[in-house]
Amino acid sequence: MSQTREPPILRRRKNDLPHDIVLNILTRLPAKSLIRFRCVSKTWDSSITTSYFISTHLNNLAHNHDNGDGDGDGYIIYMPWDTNSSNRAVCTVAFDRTFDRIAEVEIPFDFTTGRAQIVGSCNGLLCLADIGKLTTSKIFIYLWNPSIKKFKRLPDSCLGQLGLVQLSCVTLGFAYHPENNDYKVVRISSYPGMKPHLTDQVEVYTLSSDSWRKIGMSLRANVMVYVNNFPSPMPVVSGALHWMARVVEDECKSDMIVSFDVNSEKFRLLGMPDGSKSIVRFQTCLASLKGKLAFLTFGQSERDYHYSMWVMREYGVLESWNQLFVVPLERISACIGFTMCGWLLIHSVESNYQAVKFVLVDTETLHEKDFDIQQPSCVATFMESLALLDGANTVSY
Amino acid sequence: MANQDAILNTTATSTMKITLKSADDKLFMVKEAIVMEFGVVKFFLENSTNLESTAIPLLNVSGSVLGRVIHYCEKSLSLHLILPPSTLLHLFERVAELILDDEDDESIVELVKAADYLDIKVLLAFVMPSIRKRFGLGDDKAVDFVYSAEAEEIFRRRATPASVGAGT
Repeated sequence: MSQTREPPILRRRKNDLPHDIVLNILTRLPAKSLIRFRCVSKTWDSSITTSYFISTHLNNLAHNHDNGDGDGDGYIIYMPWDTNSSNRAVCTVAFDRTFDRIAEVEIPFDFTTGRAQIVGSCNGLLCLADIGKLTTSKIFIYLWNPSIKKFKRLPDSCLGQLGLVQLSCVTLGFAYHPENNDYKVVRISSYPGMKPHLTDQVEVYTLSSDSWRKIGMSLRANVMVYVNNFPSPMPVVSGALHWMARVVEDECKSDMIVSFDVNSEKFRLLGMPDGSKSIVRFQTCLASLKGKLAFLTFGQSERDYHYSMWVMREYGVLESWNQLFVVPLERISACIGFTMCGWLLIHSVESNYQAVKFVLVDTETLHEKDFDIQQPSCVATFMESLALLDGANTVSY
Repeated sequence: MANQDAILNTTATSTMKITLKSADDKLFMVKEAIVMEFGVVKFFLENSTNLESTAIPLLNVSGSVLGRVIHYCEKSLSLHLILPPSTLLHLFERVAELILDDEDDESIVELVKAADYLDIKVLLAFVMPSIRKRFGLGDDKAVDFVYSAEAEEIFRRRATPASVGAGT
């Protein structure tokens, strides 16, 4: 037999592989596997739980999804809004292209009876709010990563119990702050019906500081949230959270879009699409469609109902609002969800309140299909990640 | 299977429109689904036939009020889909107040009276919180309070501007 040189065999002696190569490989593995691999060795455990590892892992996930511009195997998660304190709520994970169910996940904490909301979903970290019936001032906000089975309840807001709590409406937003590898929750308390008009109060929570801070709006006019985006999460577009507000400047009222830059924490006002101003709007929603700001209205012109969507092709440029479609509706309906790849979830009720319908519309083709959920639900994007693994004061279950 | 019988006229299509006529002879073509929320009209429709062509007269309601009644009825139904008052009364009421913020006091009172006369429960639920808030009424005050002498007094006092006093 000729003596051919055998290729070197790398096996059995793991310590032959340099540690940074091992880590490089690990950062490309699924989150669930990495949680298991924490028990391989102390070195692996401490490496996996560093912020650096977690953000590198996240970058790798993001690159994988970017290939093919949304052709991917992204997921969505949905959760019924109405909660009952006697049974644990359950969310469902599904494929974002088809809404085919994959699994059900039990929520590891209890909600009070009333309403719960998915405030937002960033990098696999979900922000949920237990709004209850809002007759008490308490709203409980949670950060939860189902992939690594960890959650955290946020501390109470710093505003304190103003006597006005009974009159307030709270709007929440959740965003990732990439410059600091941090997560922020924005809480806006507004007081509709107060005269003279009271401008909204804004607080920001950051995961890194694990605390709330009040911030001023420093806009000339009085800005008040106008019927928030509920139940859809506030969209993050071009690094900013967006919501609809009524702006009162010298007795003159107009509806505008407020943007809050997650990094600079500065506010800005953007105009609505011109074409939307003539519609009698029953519901207005903001969303992110493939990274661009989308404006959706359910309303009426000339006694006929329809829903319509605009997209801001160039961020910040009002002239770039482009109307994508107008779809007639037979009955009053509302948008209860919107996914980033363009599915719109519509809720309508048959005239005699007997049948409740949920319809998914593909905003690219306007093709509709029925969605067989039993109750109205919040919808958000989802992915598996290690976010929150390095968080303080978290609960594992 | 025990199905609750549809109370609606089952031969009606959902796109059918009914014509309503206000006291001042203005005509409003309204979708059947909305009109069915008007208790008095629903009763009328259930007990008559061939109504697509006739206009239903609403004698006590003027055109301007009827237009607003229809509008807020639609807004209320839309809000029901996101914040059903059966489970989220407090939130529903706050948002309803916000939506009605644009209307002045006199208009709100007209709306409540019309909603009561026409028996539109969704509209009453929508407008009552604003009535209570603006006129400082307790939660126990229901719609009939609006007709009482006490209420008239409150509205009258609110309508006349306070003495132009100190200040700018």
